[in-house]
Amino acid sequence: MRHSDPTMRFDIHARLQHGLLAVSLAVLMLTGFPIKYAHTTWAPAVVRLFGDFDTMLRVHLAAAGLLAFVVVYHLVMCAWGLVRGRLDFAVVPRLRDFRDFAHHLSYLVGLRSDPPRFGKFTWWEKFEYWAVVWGTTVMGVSGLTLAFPEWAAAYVPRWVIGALRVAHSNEALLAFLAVLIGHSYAVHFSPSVFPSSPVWYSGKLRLSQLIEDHALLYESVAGSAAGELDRVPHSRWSHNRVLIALELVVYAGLVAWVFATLVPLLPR
Amino acid sequence: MDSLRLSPVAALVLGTLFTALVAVAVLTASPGAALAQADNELCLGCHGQQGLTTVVGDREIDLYVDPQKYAASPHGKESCNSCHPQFQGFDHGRVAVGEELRALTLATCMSCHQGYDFGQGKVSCHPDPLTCDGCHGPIHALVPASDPASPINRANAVGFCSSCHEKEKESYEYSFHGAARRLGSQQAPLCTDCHGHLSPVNGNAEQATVMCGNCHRGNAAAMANLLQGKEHVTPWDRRDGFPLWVVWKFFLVVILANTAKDGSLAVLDLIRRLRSRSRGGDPR
Repeated sequence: MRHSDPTMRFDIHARLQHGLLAVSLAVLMLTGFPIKYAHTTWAPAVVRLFGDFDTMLRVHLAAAGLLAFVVVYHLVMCAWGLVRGRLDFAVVPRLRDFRDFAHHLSYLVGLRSDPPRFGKFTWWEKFEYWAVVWGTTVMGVSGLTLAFPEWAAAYVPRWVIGALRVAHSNEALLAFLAVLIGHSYAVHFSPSVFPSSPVWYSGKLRLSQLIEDHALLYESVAGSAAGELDRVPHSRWSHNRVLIALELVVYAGLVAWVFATLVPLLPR
Repeated sequence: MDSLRLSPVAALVLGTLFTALVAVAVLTASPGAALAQADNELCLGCHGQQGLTTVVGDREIDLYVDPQKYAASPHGKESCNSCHPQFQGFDHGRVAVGEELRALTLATCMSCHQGYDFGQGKVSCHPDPLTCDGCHGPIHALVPASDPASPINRANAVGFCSSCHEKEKESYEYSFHGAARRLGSQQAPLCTDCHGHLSPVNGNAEQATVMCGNCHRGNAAAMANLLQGKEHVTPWDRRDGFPLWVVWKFFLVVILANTAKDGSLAVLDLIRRLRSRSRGGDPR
């Protein structure tokens, strides 16, 4: 079944997990960042959306519960896949991914003229998947410690709880920026998929994106990909120079803002 | 019966007079209150005059008591002599200052307000010149802590304590407790909720259990860990908050590296698309 349609990426369970993950992360960030940035003028405004602080905190914990459900859902589906012998290990990083990364970078800066060719998952897709695994683990462990400090204090010294709070706060910022810059470009603002990759709702890639980003997978099913890209329909935004120029300004600005804000904190 | 019939106006006037008489009778019925009033009038005859001072050694001491503020204070009904029994006549004799005044003030306050450790040298961390009025406000113009004008009212306490304890304020505002407080949580603790009545938690296991345990109901091991741990640290306090500092710096580097990765991929990819388009070739 897996090879019958190479554009099929997310089955119904993956789409549900992705949707619930997106909802829980959005709510967690909305209700969590006002605590990290309590000294700002916008933080009290967000609190007012929820009525009062204690209500906002309860919403945060409820969203954390939803995230925990997504984790269990994902693990159960992995276990079920393993039992049936259908678990796909394609997302496991290989040496090839590091070579792909170097190739991709060389291609982007103009050191190589041949574009990199990826299999089922590109190196950045694998990176994103494992980043979510890492992030959920860090946020889950630190979040449980912060939600139940009297329980945690029985097992670890006080400074561990303090350090985990720093981790919770900063991993949240890392996740926010990864979604804002990395994920948003990969699946929304890249001109080849703008305004959105359809995978999250239909489960399927556009054929043009399959050929562009997953040439090896395409060839394993349909033969040579050479010249195929010119024969299939593209996103109508893929050559829009106004969009590309606008995005250049926005992404360069975002990166400059992050560096201008965080680099001065390094020597403190 | 006709002679007893009163016009409404007369009835109102008589009724008001009667009520006033009863009120005066009730209020003056307590001999203590009557004495206190007479007493205080005598004292305030001089001490109610602005500018009354005396000189002890090289110090000029203000002896003025604002009669209105005193009357409105929680002790307003008390006789001056109930706190100043040594001043019975016009020859007041010596006026206590410095350490003597401190000891006298503490003894006087605690003759009624018993059970506070403050000033007994056991656990209070406050320096010697500080007495009850240092936090509660001027004794003769005292307002209760529940009054928004009190320096130690819940709305003012953190700002007031941190007028001396600056480092603690910084770490409190960084803490979850401080952030929750700032964002309006009524449950989040203030200085005094953990430190009690001016008593630091340091070195007192029982107290940590009581103070943390007011909100966090953990077992003995948890309370011991909380007691031994350092409170009031921030990630940018490299000396006292070293583990926090390490985690903070680690994440800063990871965030910057990840942003550099994601940002340059997006920017380089966009530039490549722009350039290949301008050459008229395929964007890939």
